[in-house]
Amino acid sequence: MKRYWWVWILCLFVLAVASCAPPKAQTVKTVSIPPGEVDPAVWGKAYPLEYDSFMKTKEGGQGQSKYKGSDPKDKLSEFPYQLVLLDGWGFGVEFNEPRGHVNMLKDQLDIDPSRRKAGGVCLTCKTPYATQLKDKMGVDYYKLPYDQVHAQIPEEHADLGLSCIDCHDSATMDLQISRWFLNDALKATGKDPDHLTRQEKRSLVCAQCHNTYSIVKDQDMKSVGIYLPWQNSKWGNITIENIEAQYKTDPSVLEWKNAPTGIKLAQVRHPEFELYSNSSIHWNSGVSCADCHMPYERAGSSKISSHHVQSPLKEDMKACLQCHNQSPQWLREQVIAIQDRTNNMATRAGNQTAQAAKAIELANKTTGVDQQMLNDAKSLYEKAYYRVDFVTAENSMGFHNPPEAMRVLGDGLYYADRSLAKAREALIKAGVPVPDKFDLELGKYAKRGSKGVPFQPELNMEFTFDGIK
Amino acid sequence: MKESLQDAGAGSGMADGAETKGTGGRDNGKQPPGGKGWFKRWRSRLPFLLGGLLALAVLSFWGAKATLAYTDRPEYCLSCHVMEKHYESWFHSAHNKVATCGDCHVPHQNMAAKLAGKGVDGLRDSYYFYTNQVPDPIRLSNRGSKIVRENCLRCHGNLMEKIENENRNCWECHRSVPHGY
Repeated sequence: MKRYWWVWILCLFVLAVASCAPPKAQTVKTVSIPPGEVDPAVWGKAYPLEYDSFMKTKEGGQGQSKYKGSDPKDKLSEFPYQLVLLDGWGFGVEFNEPRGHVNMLKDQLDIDPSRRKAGGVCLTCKTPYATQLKDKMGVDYYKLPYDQVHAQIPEEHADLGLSCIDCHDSATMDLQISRWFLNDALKATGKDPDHLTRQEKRSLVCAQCHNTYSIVKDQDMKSVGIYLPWQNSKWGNITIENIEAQYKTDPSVLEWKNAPTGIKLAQVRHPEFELYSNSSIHWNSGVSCADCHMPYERAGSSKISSHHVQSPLKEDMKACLQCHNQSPQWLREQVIAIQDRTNNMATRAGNQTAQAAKAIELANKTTGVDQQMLNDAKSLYEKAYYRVDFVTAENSMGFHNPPEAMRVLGDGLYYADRSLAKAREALIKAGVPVPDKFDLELGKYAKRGSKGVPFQPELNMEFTFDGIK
Repeated sequence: MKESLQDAGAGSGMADGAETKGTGGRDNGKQPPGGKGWFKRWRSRLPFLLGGLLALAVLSFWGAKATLAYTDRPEYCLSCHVMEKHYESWFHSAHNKVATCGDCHVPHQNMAAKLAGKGVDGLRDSYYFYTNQVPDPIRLSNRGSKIVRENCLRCHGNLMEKIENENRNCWECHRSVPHGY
């Protein structure tokens, strides 16, 4: 060692050269957010850029969208077959295209009260206080009338919609899941909610509310719980078939009765996450909800996630242009082409299901009709209804997963055809003259609910490629 | 003078080894410049030695710098023809005027990391090239991805201050940036 004593010096020199680097710049924190703070304005003091971007969800506007957009529009007038399919409860009275996230509780307060009959449970995806209220009130949270539970929210936040705390941890800004039932649903699909990558969370915080949920009812049809019917599904493969199987297993989630057919049905609501994550091309490519709906934007000298959650068709397809280098017009045409085709299929399947409903309605009123045939027609109607519901309640007009949306609507059309055929067979057997096409009797729906929501045929958005409906 | 030379000569010719005792077999007359009186003997040669060392130092620093600069040039990377596609696509890309091959694909945290990175890359690439195992298309390795990501942030870090890096590769979205495909 004596001979090579200088080796130590050389090593130290190399080490020094290797480790010398300037310290990393840290942002100065001027405001700290108290834990559990609900008011977005307080969070906005620490993160003004994101807050300003989020408040833009007040703006609304149709933008470049053909089918959706952020302006309130009557969905029942746009797709009149829904008036027949949803006849029997609040959804059939008033069902609007919603406004931006800031207004989400206001939209719920403005809508016809028949939509809020389920009780306090309706607040689950509309107020940031939902988890607190559920923990405080237990089963009463679900059960008590909406207005009573709503009154529990502090007055200054009585119409506070989405808030930062719904998705973020106040100390670290980490993404976190605030809705309890999503954690349960993830476990049911074999995913560990405590070990999620950030990219997965960028989809899952949206999936907290953009999912199909089932309200559990007791014998008196009072709401006593809520869960996501993912029991038979796997991560990346949540299908309408598995959801339907869960409805069969747990009849307590059959929430309403369809008036024309008299069938007790469950309801699929806005299954964005289920449709999107079912191996859609973008899901398989590792794209999260936030990548398209909250794209990064330049705010001053830095990049932030846009918190103006809106259709990616707005901002001239900016969200798409990150990865796709065609022109915005070309990209928009692709989107519209997909949506038109989904609409075509939905128009066919929806109208055929409405025809089946009308046939069953007539058969119900017919004495001496073959009950076995009628019951068969009703089971087939159920299958058709869930499939049509799955895609039409979803908010992308098929774009989130075009092949699957088409597939489901195709299956819906198949079951609607079979249901209609069975019902007509029963009617003919009973000697009742059946028309070539049943009149949907849309005049019945001219004025609906306590607000007298009108039926506006001029808003019709149905579409078929050959123009025949 | 002659005398001393003769003395030295005479000393080297001795056979009985009396003066080499305790030197480990080495001849005392031909002692290495250690021991007593070495400075006196080498004083005349010192200027040449120091001058030589200085020249060596200058040459090696300049040489290293020159070598480094030479191997940093994109044309050097192009000397392996399999890189033609990548050279061309870089040449026609937005990064042409602002970044060279090494700016993205060589670590830049500090000089040691840079040299180590270049060394590993060079060895690895030479091995694959000369054993004819170059894949088509050539894709970035995991190690390479980490290096490129760090370098993206080296220039664009200010913009990314408020974004959690998420361990995602930048080019997952910015797909036309790297090599235009």
